Amino acid sequence: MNELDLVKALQTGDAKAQRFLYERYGGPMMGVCLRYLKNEMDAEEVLINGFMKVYQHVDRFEQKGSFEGWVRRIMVNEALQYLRKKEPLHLAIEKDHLHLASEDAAPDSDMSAEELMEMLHDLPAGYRAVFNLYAIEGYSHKEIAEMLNISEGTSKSQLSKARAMLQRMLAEQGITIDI
Amino acid sequence: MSAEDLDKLFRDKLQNRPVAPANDVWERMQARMNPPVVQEEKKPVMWYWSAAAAIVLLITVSIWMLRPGQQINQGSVPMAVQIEKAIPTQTLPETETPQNEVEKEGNKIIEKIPSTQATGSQALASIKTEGRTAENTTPTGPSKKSEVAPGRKQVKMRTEVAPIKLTTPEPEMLAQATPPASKTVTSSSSASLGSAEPMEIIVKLDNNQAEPTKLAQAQVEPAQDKDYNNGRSTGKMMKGIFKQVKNLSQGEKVDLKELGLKHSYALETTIGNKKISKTITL
Repeated sequence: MNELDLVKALQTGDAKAQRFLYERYGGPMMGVCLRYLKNEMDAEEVLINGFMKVYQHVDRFEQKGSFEGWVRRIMVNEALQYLRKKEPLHLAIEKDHLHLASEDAAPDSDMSAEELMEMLHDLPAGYRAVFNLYAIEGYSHKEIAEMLNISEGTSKSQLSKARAMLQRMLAEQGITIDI
Repeated sequence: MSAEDLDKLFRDKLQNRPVAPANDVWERMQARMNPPVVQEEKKPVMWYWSAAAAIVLLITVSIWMLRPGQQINQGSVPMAVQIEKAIPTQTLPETETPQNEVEKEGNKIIEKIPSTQATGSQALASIKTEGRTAENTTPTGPSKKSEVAPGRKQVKMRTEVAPIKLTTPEPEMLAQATPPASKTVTSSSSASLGSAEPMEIIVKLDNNQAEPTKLAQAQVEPAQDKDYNNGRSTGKMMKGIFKQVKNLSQGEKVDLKELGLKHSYALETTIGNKKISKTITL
């Protein structure tokens, strides 16, 4: 079943198509949700809400971009909305419990996805959101500012703080590995 | 490590990293997508069952209540007659004939209470003629009924004299003479009333099958009939009840007549010149 047929079937409310969509995108979208929410239960909640929204609003999908991109956008928005509700993003209030990263941390290609995910989860929710949106999802600071209802400057500073924290974590990881 | 390198590291590793959601996530989502249908269906069903259960309970209780009640009803039939018999002079010839019937069939069919009452009533009647003399001759009669049993025909007048003592002024004897059933107490008291003022109460039982029987004249036989009817009809009644319960659970109409529960009693009495009649439907 190609993407177009799938979308058409979904638009008629076909239960089999709904199941098929979940089978195909459930795993990747759960991965997306988990980047924003470290609690698995929260991520599942967002996943369910996101899929329900996809089923409800599949009529609004225009054939411009890829369907998967559209679904992913819905998931990201659900995740941000959930974060906003559950834990306020602390976007502006972050305390300076971070020092500048040590510059000598070298990029480690051996780092596993799980380790990187753990680091991501160690970030405060607001930093994590901005880093996810900019570095991984590829949104611009302008888009992020709109999505999170913050200023572009705040988005930029959040991003740099997030990067600094991650670099420090990577450096610590490198040290422990060295020992 | 440059910012771009850092971003690239995370992007490459995490952008398309699938994580299998828990197995129950799909079911949870399905449950949330269409929950209200199931709940709405459940409610009326529950209401239905509780209503049916309540009615079954009601019927069983009513059966239970009716069972001991049947005996009492039978008792009450001759009781009314008894009052009639209390009228001194006229009733005497009438009572003679049923008395014979009592002798023939009484022991087999008729339950103890009505039989004793019947004999009692006759005795009452017979008092008027011979009673007072007989009473004197048999002082032991009331206390020992066992002796009475073998030689019934001869002693009968004497044994039946036992209730005769109703007419005697002594209150203690009154108490003894009244048989254990509570209904008869009332009858005896009303009988004494009746002796003061002649009063007649006729009770007619209208069954579905049976013709309205005149209980006033034939005391024993209607009671007998009722016995048989009851014996048969309990089986019928149980069937009917189950049928009605089934109807109920299927939402059909319930007909209490089919249960055979419907009896109607017609009461008639004359006080002075006035005639009063009352029909009671159960």
